Amino acid sequence: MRARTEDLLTLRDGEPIDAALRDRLLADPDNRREIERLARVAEDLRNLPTIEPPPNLWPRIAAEAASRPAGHRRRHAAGLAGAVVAAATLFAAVVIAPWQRSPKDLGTDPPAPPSAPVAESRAGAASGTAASADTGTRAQTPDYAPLVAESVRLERLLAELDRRPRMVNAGTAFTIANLEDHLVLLDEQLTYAEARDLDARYRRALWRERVDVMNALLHVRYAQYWEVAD
Amino acid sequence: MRGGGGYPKAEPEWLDDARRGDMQAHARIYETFAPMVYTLARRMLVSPTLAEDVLQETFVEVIRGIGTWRGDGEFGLWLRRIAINKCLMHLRSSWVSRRAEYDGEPPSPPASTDDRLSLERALAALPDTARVVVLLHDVEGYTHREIGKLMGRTASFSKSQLARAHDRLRALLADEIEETALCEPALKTC
Repeated sequence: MRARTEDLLTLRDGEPIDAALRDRLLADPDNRREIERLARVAEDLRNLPTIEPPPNLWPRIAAEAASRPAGHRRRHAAGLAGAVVAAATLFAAVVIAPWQRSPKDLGTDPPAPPSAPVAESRAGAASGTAASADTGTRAQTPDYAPLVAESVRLERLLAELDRRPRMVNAGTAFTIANLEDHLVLLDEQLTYAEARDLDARYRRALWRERVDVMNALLHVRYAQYWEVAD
Repeated sequence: MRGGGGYPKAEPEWLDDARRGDMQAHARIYETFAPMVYTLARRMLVSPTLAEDVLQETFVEVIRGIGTWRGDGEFGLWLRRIAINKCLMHLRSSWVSRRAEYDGEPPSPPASTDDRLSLERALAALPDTARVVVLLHDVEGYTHREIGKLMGRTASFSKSQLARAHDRLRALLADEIEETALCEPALKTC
């Protein structure tokens, strides 16, 4: 008799089946061979090789996980503005004053690293963490000091833009919130870099990423500023 | 459902740290389990883009919801369950729009001399439902009752889809063997 695949699979998997049907099916050598073949296919399916995911997805996933619901974002951004102004004022008084430049400096060479440690960071101020907690190890790993200095310069420019009027646009606000969330994540990692004993190359990569994200944020904020100015 | 043997293992301290919101611990978990989740999603959805989406959505859910994992089962199994649900959600959302593409004859897989590659291609050429059922049953170890529940159908539906999947796989693999034989260099037909 011609066996149904469904019945042969039932026999392969040892599931309940009518005894008379089972005996009839198993009496045929072709059926027995087919059951063995079906078992081999299942085994082969289980042994298919692993497929590696595309590289560099983790930062995107971490940033996405850190993002908040829309309502929370707005509250976060509003709270951030106040915290940033306070932090920026303190920051400017302690660190920036000796080598302050005008906002037209955007795009010019970064200034030399400040001699005093960074008092507070933008996202660190908002999140209760401080990227500057990493400053203790900066002295021993000067290779990323220019990135820290660039980060400081961008902080200053952003602080300047934060004092200007803003045009509220949902798309832009969302982009800014995402970038700020990303900064919070990076600052959290930099804050605990010492405690986690992160090596210098990894810290350098974090600072590099922080500069990139701040640059992106600055561009968005600058565009936002000109929209208002026009 | 299968007990999770052969899955990567998470160190208990990573899980404890991850529960406390330590992103470094989450990064380690991601590095360990991402290939497993991506492989599962690629096999179920075929599309690399959709698989990437599932990978991202799964780990975002893990980061946000690891506190809800009670820790009384295998972490890899919990993670796989999340990934499978994400895959099914994608398939449900795209089934309607892709019905025209898959209701007809599935695309013929190109010939290949490698058995595993042949099986991979044949699997990808199955209709969505049949492919998902064969993976859930034969690879993930779900019962027909569990599959029926997951898909909002019955155990009988799952059984018939599994049989359909194996019939189709047999035909696709036989085609491959035939094409490979025709392409033997000695015959100089390719």
